[in-house]
Amino acid sequence: MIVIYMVIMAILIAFLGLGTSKNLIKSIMFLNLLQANIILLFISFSYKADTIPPIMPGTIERMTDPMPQALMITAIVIGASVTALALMFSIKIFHHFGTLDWDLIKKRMD
Amino acid sequence: MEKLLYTLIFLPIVLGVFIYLVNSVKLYRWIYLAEAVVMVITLQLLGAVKKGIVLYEVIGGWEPFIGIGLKFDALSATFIILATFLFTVILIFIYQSKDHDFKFLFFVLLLQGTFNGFVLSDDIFNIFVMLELITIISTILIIYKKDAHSLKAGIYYLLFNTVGMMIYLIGVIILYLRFGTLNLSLMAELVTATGMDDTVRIGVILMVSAFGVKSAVFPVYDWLPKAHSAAITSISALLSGLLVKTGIIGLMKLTSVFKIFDFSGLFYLLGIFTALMGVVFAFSQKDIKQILSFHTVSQIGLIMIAFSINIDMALLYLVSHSLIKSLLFLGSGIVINQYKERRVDKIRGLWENDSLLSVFLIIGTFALAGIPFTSGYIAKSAMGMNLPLWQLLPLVLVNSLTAGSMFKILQILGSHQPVKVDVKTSKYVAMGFLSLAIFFLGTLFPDYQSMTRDLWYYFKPMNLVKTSFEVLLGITWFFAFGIHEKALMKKMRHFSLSFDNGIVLLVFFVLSLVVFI
Repeated sequence: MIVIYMVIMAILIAFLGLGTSKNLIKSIMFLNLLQANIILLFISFSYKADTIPPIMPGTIERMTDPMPQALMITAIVIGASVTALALMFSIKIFHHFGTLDWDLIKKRMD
Repeated sequence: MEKLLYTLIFLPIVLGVFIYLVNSVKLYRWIYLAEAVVMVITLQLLGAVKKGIVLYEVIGGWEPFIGIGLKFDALSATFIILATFLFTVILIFIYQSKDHDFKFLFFVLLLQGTFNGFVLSDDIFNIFVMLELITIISTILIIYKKDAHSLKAGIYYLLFNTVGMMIYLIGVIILYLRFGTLNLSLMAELVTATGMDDTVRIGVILMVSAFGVKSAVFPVYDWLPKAHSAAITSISALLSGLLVKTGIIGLMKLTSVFKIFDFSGLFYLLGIFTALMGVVFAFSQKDIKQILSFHTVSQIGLIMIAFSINIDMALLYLVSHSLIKSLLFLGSGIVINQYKERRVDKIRGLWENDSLLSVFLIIGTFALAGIPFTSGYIAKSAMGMNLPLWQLLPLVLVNSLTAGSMFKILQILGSHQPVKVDVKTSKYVAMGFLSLAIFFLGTLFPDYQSMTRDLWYYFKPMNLVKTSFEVLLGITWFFAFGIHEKALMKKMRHFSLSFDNGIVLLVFFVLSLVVFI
């Protein structure tokens, strides 16, 4: 149960960070924090104490729900690709503007 | 029959991958064949659905409550037909230009397949995956020019929409824990059996707010004008015509499941704020593409208002706006490329340089302002006839400001400014198709599904008076504020949110929706 409270705290921290950080890399990192904690939230919500993976025969009574894991693997892949793309673009942005600060980027645009 | 649904998704994707691997644009003509095949299959399936056959396929043959469902009904058929038409037009548009190297074609075809997949999918997690894919691919297409402007707009678009989709994911988790399934059709049965409680309500409202981010409603609209005006011509048309509607399509899917929940008040409020803010900002702009992108924001608001009446009205307005906005973006993109200038007060003499292009721009602007015999008139008057008077009055203001800023665009036609114009024929062909479709919707095909009425139903004296009043008021706005700008308008023109303030507004938006219910 304590995990869930910590995860919710981390989600709030991630939103706080996204709403205050002025640096592009920091924004991407807080987005990553948000994604990781939402995934952890789902996993810890669907965790039940005395269950086992449904692999061996005869485990069907005590099996754990495999759906959250299957979904969250997909979410992790999407998160990784978004992060990779965003980091690649931030390299390009650094080459163009010489900075990664949102305000400075805006200023140098005009 | 159900297996044909895979063709709609995978035919464009496979062709795109093939073009990428063969590394040649010589296969370009085969794309039109593929588009025609997709169109024919969709029409065939639509015929089957009209006869009462249920087209439902679960990928991999699993049980519906664990597998990914694909659902084909009249709603998704409409969107696939619209998407195929728009993609074909865009592909005709770029046929003779330098834009169509094989990588570009690969991404465009991938986008089409993903969009069809999104429209067909009947599973809330699959909708999340498809929306994220659409975001990633359209980011790559926005940044395709690789200049400073589009890079900044693209990264803003990517990060902002991803944060929005994370909120959607929280909603998915809540609904899965409550219902034990992700399938929308099964969820609809469960909801009618058990009713709504607070958990479901919060889950649904988180998903609604994520779709709101995706379709750029009032406090979270700021990514749209940036991205849509920074992209290259064909991609701006695609983004504004089709992809910004993914949020509305998602809302249509949700509302058809959670019927007990009354969304109409919420949609009216969101819509009226979005429409007013969008149109006021649009009127203060001077860059053609910025005017058009802010108009997309305000038209999204109008679609939401139409949605608060019923879903058919929203569909009518959505299809009409897709055609009009694509035409306008294509036309203004050509103007910008020829004049190497984006400001409406610097471009002059388009009529004497290229009268055919001017005709297309006139058709587009008139349709957006709602002049009779265009699809915009039908959509606007159908909406006006179904709203009470106090709800209609803000709409008259919005429509008159729309007409006013359309005159702002049309001022580029007059006067003299010699520029050597060299436009390829295929671009005119593409815009011709779009204009024909606008007139087709506006004259021969004014009814959609349940609204079986003839054209003259919309020509009530009341509507004509309303339209002419709006246009006259628009001309007044134009002459009062459009030519000599006031200090306030200059301030508004340069107003834009930074990323962190945008996120603060997003959180505020989500929280206020949660409190609202």
